[in-house]
Amino acid sequence: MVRLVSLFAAITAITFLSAPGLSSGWFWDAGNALGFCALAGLVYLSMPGAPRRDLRRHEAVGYAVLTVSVLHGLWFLLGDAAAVEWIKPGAPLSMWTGIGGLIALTALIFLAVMPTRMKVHRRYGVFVRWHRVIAWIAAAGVVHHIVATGFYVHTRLQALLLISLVALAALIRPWWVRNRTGPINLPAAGPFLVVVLTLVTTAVFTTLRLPAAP
Amino acid sequence: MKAGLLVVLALVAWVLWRGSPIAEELPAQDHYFGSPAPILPMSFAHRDHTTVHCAECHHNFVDDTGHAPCMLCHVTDKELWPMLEEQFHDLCRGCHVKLAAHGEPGGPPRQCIGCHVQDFEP
Repeated sequence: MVRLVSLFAAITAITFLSAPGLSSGWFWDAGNALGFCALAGLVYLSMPGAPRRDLRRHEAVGYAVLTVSVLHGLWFLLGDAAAVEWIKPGAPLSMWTGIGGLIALTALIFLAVMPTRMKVHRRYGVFVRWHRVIAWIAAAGVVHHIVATGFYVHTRLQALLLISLVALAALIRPWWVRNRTGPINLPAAGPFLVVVLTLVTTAVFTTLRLPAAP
Repeated sequence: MKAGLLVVLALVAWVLWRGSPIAEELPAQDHYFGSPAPILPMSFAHRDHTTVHCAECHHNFVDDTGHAPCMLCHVTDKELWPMLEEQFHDLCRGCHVKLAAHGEPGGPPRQCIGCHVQDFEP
């Protein structure tokens, strides 16, 4: 739970490192906060847990993160008629990398669910390797989407911190599991906590920017 | 959680199929300013930008690249046209974001529908 809360807090804090009062109005701020929450959930999923005991929770959190990610897109489609142009051919690359990240996350979840997993990967080791590769693709797509749009992360320091955080979480896992130096038996947070944190973070993110809204 | 995901996905499908029930009407795409492909309309009111120096946007007033209106080059020039979206997003949004970051009233820095409406303003 501490790791999940820390990740949500860290990613939110990074967005406030430059122009903390910059707002696009509550609607856009709330929608983008949902996206940052989805990233925090994705990074959390890549961190070490208790591999066997927490598989069900890992899967449930995966569904929660995917739901928040889709909600991030739905929010804009619902509230801004012109936003649909950003999911059409000709949209900026940063939008396509975001969509690519979403597709990778979807594949990550549904290719890992039984019995699909056994049909695609009969050997567990091969599955783990591909699961990790697709997770990296998802994370890279989402980070590019955030950094290249530059809405809230638009300084080099912010980009560096965000990339470092995601890369560290992704790269540390194999090392952590192999060396058993970390608290790998900590119970994983459940999807309910992800939903609660998403609601709280979105409210905080939006409220802190509210006074400066144009 | 799977049920929640299914509900959200169903809503996405509904919005993509029928349009948003709560958003303003989608502005019609057309060959505005003679663009080679349909584009969204863009609104720009000079009277709302009287505090901005002309050359901030009209670079051609000072760099000797002609005296035509913006769109005549940026939409019809084959080399400039592919960069239309990027250049105008950077120009308009960049200025609005700067103002908003300084706590000044700066208009819509991000909302798509804030600018992509039919232009009836002088």
